[in-house]
Amino acid sequence: MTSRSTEAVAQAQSLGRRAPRTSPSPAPRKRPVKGARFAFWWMVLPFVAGITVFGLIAIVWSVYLSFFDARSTLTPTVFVGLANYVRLISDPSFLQSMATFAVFAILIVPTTLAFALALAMLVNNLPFAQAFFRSVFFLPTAFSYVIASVIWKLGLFSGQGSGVANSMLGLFGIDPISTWVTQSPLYWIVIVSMRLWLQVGFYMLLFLAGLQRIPAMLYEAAALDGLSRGPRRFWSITWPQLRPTVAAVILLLTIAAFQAFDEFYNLVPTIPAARPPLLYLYNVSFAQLDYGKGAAGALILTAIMVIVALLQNRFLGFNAADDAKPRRQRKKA
Amino acid sequence: MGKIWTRGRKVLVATAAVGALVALAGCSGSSGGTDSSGKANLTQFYHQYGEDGVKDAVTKWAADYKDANIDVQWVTGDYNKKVTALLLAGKGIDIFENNQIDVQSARQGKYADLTDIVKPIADKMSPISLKPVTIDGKYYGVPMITDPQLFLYRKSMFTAAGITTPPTTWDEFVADVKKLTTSEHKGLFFGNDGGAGLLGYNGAAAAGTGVLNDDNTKVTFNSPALASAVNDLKGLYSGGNLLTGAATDWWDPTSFIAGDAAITWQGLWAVPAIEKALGDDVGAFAFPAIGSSGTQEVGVSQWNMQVAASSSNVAAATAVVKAQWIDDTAWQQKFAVDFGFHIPPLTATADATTKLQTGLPKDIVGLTTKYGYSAGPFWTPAMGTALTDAVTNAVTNGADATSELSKASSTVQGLLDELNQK
Repeated sequence: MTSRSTEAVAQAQSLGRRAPRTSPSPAPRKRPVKGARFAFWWMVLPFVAGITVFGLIAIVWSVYLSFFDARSTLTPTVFVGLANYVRLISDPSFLQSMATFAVFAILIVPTTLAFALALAMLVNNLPFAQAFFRSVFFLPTAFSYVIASVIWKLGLFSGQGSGVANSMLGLFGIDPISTWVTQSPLYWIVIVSMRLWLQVGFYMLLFLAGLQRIPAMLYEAAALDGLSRGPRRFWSITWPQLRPTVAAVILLLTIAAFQAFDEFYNLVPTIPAARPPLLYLYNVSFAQLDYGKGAAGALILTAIMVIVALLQNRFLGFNAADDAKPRRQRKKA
Repeated sequence: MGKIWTRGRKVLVATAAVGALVALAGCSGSSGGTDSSGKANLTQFYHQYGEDGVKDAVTKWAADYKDANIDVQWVTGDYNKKVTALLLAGKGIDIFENNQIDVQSARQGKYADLTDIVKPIADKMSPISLKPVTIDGKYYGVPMITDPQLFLYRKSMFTAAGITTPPTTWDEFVADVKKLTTSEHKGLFFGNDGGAGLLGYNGAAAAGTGVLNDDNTKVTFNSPALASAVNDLKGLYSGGNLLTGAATDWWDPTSFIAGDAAITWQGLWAVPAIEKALGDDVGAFAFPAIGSSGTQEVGVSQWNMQVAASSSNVAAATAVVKAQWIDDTAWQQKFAVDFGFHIPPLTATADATTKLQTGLPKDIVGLTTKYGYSAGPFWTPAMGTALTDAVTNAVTNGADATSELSKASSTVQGLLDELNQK
């Protein structure tokens, strides 16, 4: 950060919340431009049409289906009340899928968080070619999960001796492994490494933005006090300052893990212990053709995600680090 | 303000209506109605066959058909889900092939009843081929091709291991697989999942119980014999006797041709490719009998041609199915042997198909006639998944085979009871 921008930051900090804000009162009313309303609707029309047809109608229909016996039909007539919900919650496969999600989340969330933060700090400290490395690490985000699955399954973790992982093991005199995608816990290595590669760049960008928001003067002040590098500087300054970013990243990673489907579907479709909730629901709806139970499941999953997001916001809070006061006190103030 | 809202709402409603129309229009193909000369416009759906030339052949047959305009839809990817979606939508589909006739859909009237064209020739079809199309005494499809699946083996590898005759019992089979495992190749390729997907269904038949009883009311696969076979498979899997991690799964003969395994589970369809590569070094044997009351088994899957009840031209579509898969025996022979090999369900047609009457194909046809097993339409994909999961848990995850099979049995019984409720 240049000294000029440091000054600007310092100035902003000193002004803090006492600085006069831009007035929220509306600008003086002008006469609307003729045809503006028509133009407005014309421009939002595609969006509204899309969200109505593919969003609202689908959601309402799902709610409707979830209360009916909708096996092999989308226009059911037999009302069954909460039976679909009861059948779903008492289905051991559903509970197994939640357990699978828990295992996956425990593996992928901290791993991605650590790698993304480490990469962001490395890239942030680069003296040159920062944009280049940022792009390089971000590129996999644009990659297809399905194609990555094929590469991971047939190239990197192929069961044959020629696979990349097996060749590496061979260098250490270890026999090739043929059960990368059939044996627990081997398949977790395949699944987690693939998702890590695909998503780490995106979260690195979030952390980079977070790192660049940390005022340089904090580090300068710490340096004056004799703390210029090392883990203590990280834990005392960088980590607390990144708290909102960390909270956001954890939430986004958890939601993404909850929505995992592609790699499980393509890499380990036959393993019951590796069938996350969405894959379970997909099977219920499209293999068993039980749309009522599938719809009930979709709504339950949505409810779980909303609750998780609310709890996370309550306890970690996106803006918590902006304020030294605890959230509750701040509300009262 | 009220006026503005009214206008806004009008726009919203109009938007939704236009959007819905666009969406619906996008779903329909060229199906429905007739052309100017009064000929019906029909769509006919096929899944993507792996062998070259099938698409051209079915397209040519459709183009040559004079009494209707047939638009062939060649579906890559998940065929069954696409067909299910179109049947649910109730438009855009007239004729379609199906290897999973769904009992619920039949009872809900989604499939046209083809009893009138099948019944007159029912006694001319192989009995096993009628099982998958029969629901509540009605025929909902015309069997197109029967696909037997069984074990193929490399004769030279058997000789090298000192095995003179292929196994007929499960115990012999397990011993042979161990003997056939060398540093050069594995004893058995039973699918990349270690055979979990194949042993449950075929093993239940080989144990003499089958997966369901004859009137489709009871689940029968849970037997000590099958549990013991699952434990044997677990031993073969952990003992390194099975080929796993191959680039393609068992239905593709590449690994077997490459000599990666001495025995493979395979379908008749792959025989032309295998014979071309390996000549007469290949033999076939049925799934060996499991336990004292077991029987040998050949798994039989099948494709059937059906008509959608929602078609606006059910009569014309039924006429196409009859012309193609009942009357045109030359076409049926061509389809059965010109690409991959399949058995025509009409026995006279099968007998007249010379390529199936010599060598390895003849052996396989003979074994199929003797030991063929098909569970029929009441055995649904969901039931298959439950059984496969049980075997997977036991073979690769170390779970107890007996309790896994017992749990799966009660799950499947629940599904079967639901199916039989109506």
